[in-house]
Parts: sequence; C-alpha cells; structure tokens
Amino acid sequence: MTRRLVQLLLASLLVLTVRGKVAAQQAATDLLAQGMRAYQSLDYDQAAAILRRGLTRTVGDTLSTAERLQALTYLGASELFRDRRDAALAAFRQIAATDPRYRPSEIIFPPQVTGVFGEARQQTKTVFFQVQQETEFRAKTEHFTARLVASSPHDVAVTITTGDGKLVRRLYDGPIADSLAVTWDGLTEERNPVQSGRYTLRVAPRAAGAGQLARQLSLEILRAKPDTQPWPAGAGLAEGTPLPLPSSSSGPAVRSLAEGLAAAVAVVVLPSIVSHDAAGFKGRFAIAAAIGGAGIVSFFAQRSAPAVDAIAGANAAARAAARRRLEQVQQQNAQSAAEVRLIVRAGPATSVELGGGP
Amino acid sequence: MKTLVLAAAGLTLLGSAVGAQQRLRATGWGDGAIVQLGTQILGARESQSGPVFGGEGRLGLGPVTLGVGYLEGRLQPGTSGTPQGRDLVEARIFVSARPLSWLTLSAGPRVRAFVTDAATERWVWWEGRARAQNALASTPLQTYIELWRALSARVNLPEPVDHVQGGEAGVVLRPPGAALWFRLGYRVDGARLGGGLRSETVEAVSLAVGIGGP
Repeated sequence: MTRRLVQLLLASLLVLTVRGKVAAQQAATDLLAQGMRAYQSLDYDQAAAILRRGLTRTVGDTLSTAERLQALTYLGASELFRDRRDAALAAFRQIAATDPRYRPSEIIFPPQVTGVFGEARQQTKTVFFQVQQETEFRAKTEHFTARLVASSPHDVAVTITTGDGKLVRRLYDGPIADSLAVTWDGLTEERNPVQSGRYTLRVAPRAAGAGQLARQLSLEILRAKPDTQPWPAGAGLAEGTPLPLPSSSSGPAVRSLAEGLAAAVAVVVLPSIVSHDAAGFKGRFAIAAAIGGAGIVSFFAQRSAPAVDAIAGANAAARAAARRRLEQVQQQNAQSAAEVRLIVRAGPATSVELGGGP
Repeated sequence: MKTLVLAAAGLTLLGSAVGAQQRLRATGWGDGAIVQLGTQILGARESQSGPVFGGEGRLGLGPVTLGVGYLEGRLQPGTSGTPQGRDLVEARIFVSARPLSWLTLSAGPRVRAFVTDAATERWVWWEGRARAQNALASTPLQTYIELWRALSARVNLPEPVDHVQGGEAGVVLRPPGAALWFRLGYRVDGARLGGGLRSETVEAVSLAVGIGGP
C-alpha cells in the first residue's frame, strides 16, 4: 500500500515538472502575444503587467532581440496611455539603447506614441558598432575601419585603449549625426605599431553626464609574422662560388689581335691622315712593330690559355646577377620585416554607464 | 695667356664642384720624346728634331678628370734644315670624362711656342680629343689610339689658320703588382695655314713612365 502511494507521488511530481517546463518555455512568447492582445483590447493595465512579466523573464524561454523590441514598444505605448509618461520614456530609451535604427510602426501606433518615442531616442546618446569580425591590415599604410551608428546626433570621443583603460590612440573627437566611419592605422599616439594584446574601442559622449552610456568594443590584436621570400637559389654565387668551366672561345684572342694590329696600322698611317705634308717619322715604324707584336703576343697567349678571361667574365656576370637577386630579396625581406601586419578580431560590444558631473 | 688663366680657373672650379664628395684620384707621368718638326712654306721644306722632356698630372674627381701638361726641348736643324735651332715649349690644360670604359673624351686649351733668337712663334688653340684604350687579353698590355682636332686656333703668323689636328697611338705596359707603368707611343699633329701656303707638322716618338692610371 505504502509502496503504491510512493509510486503515485513520484508520477505526480514528474507530470508537474514536465508541465511546468512547457509552461515556462511558452510563457515568454505567449506573454508577448497576450500583452499585445490586451493592448489591442485597450486594456493597458493588463498589457503593461503581462509585457513587463515577459521582459523580466531571465530563465527558461526568453525573448529574442526583435521580440524584446516589440515588447518594449507595446509596453511604452501602454504606459503612455496609462498616463505614466516616465515609464513610457524609460521603455523607449531601452529600445534606443538596444537598436538605434528601430522605429515603431506608424501604422500600428498613433503619432502620440511615435512622438514620445522620438523624444526618448533624442535623449539617448549612444552608438553602435558595425565592425568586421576579423580585419587584417598593414600598420601605418592600411586601416581598420569601424562604422558607428548613433541613436541620435551628439558629440563623441572615440579612442583605442588598453584592456586596463590606458589611452593608446585618439581616433575621433567631434559630432556624429546618423553614422560615422572611424579608421585606425594600427599606430599608437607615438606613431608606433601597436603590440599584440587585448584592446578596447571606446566611444563616449563628450558631454558626459549621469546616465550617459559609453560603448566599448573588445578588440583582440595579433601581430602577423612578416611574409618574407625564401633565400634565392644560387645565392652562394654572390659569395664567390665559381661556375663550371665554359667551353673555350677564340673571341678574346682575335679581338686582342685586331686591337693590336689596328693600333699598329694607326701609327703607320697617322701622318698621312693628320697632315698631307708630313715627312713621316721613320721611328714610328718601331712603335708600330711593338704595338702589332703586343697584339700578336696577346693572341697567342689567349690561345694557349683558352677561355680564362671567358671563365672570369662568365663568373663575374653570374656573380653580378646572383648578387642582384640576393640584394633584391634582401631588400624585399627588409621591407616586409619593417611592415607590421595586424589582425584585429572584434569581440562583444558592451555599454558602460558614465558617472555624472563634468 | 689671359684665356689660359681663365680656362684653368674655370676647370678647377668645375672639378672641385663635381667631385666634392668623392675620392680624389691622382695620376702623373714623365715623358721623354724625340720630336721632329717639319715646316713647309710654298713647297720649301725645313726639318728640325731634338729631344723633348715633359710631364703631365691629372686629378680625377668622380667622372671628371682635370689635367695639366708641360714639355720643353731644343730642336736642331737637320741636314736640309734652317740655319738655327729653336726651343719648343708647350703646355696644355684639359678636362676629361669617360663615358665608356674604353673611351675618354677631353677638351681644353693648348699653347705652343717655337722660340728662336729672333722671334717666337706662338700658337694657342682649343682642342677636343677622343681616346680609345683597351687591354690586350692575357697580357699586361694595353693599346690606345687618340685623335684630336682644334676647335679654334690662333698663331702670330701672317697666314690664317685653316686647321690644326693630330693623333696618337701606342702601347702601355703595366706590370702586374707594380705601381709604375710604361708607355711607348707615336704622336703627330699638323697645322695648315693660308690655304696650303704653309704647313707645320710635329711628330714624336715618346717613352713615358707614370704612376696611377695610364
């Protein structure tokens, strides 16, 4: 008997738990629907109470952002028609602080509601970030860009700070109307590339007062390794590794012979070229013979030691080419090493309420 | 003389301006030559010859070289020569550049005087020179050929100057590892005056010993 009673009790508990969970899951969206129906039935007290219950739900099924904005709009309108203007403004401010682009439907809500909503939006001074999840750029020459969308026109100060709040770089100080693109070249105030670490993109209203919100975006910054080129093949040539012997060539020998003979002939014919009346110094023939002989000596020396100059020339040319390649790669690598590439990963955005007073 | 001084000053300034940041290169040589002077006036030929000694110094700054040269000697009449000898004195100053490794271009004024007891024949001309010099492979030898022509010339003779031009060719020996070099050359220049009424030819076989670049 006792055993049957315990089984019945456990079964009852199980049924109640399951029913409770289902009820909790349905409650958030159901509450929104019930609240909207109550509003449409002009039962504003009931609507405000139900919507507030839905909005304050933090466990189990909660409202999505779009549903939350919708719930806040109906709540603000309900409060307005309950003659609780401050409560309505508070609800509308929450909307402006959640999505600056959101506007209540002018078909559903009367101008009385949209007017107060506009007033609340004007009073709310905050911005929202539109940033790529990950940005890679060259510090100094390229930029990281963050688009700021304002809830209402106001003056802002945009800064990059370290994780513990130290200023790294002031990016912008001035008015923002609808939206603003802020760029950062990855440099600090001292114009040095920023180190790897966690940073914050912070946007604060310049006229900071009690209740004003500063928006912060967490940034994780990494310095990418420089993209260098490999050491060129054959770089050893630049250091003096000789090339294999090329095939022998008679070019230099013939050229030497031709040069010697040309100079010898020049000595012989110069008097007749320069002056038709020249007697022609006989001693010049000895000079011509010496020069011609030098050419002949060079010719045979070149033939007996084939291609020595050709080897030296080829080696010199190959060394020069290798040195040029090496210098080019060194220069490009030095340039790459001097370039700092930054990878910026955007984290979650948060709001910080500012303290009052100037 | 005034022209020479002005030219020297100008070239000195040019040289110093061009190479202010570069290393100075100095070259010099002494030259001994056997010179033969031939003069032909209305078909009558005279000949004189003798030893002449001189030297030349150059300072190189970057691509530009500034040089000065001087030579002097006594020429004696040949068998069919004039009754008396004459002194030959010559000086030149020039600036040169090397557009190619084997080619040197230079320009500058030259003065030459033939001095006898009775009179002095003075020449002044501005000349432009082109010199080709190249090494003979597998030897310590180099050959060179140089041609020049006067761009303008003056002389204190009654006949007007038609042209003055000349040339030189030779061989240079630079022993491996030695600071000195040796040059054996032949040079000739000829002046034509008065439409061929008068001509003068100076030929020389010279041996030079130098230090620095030849």
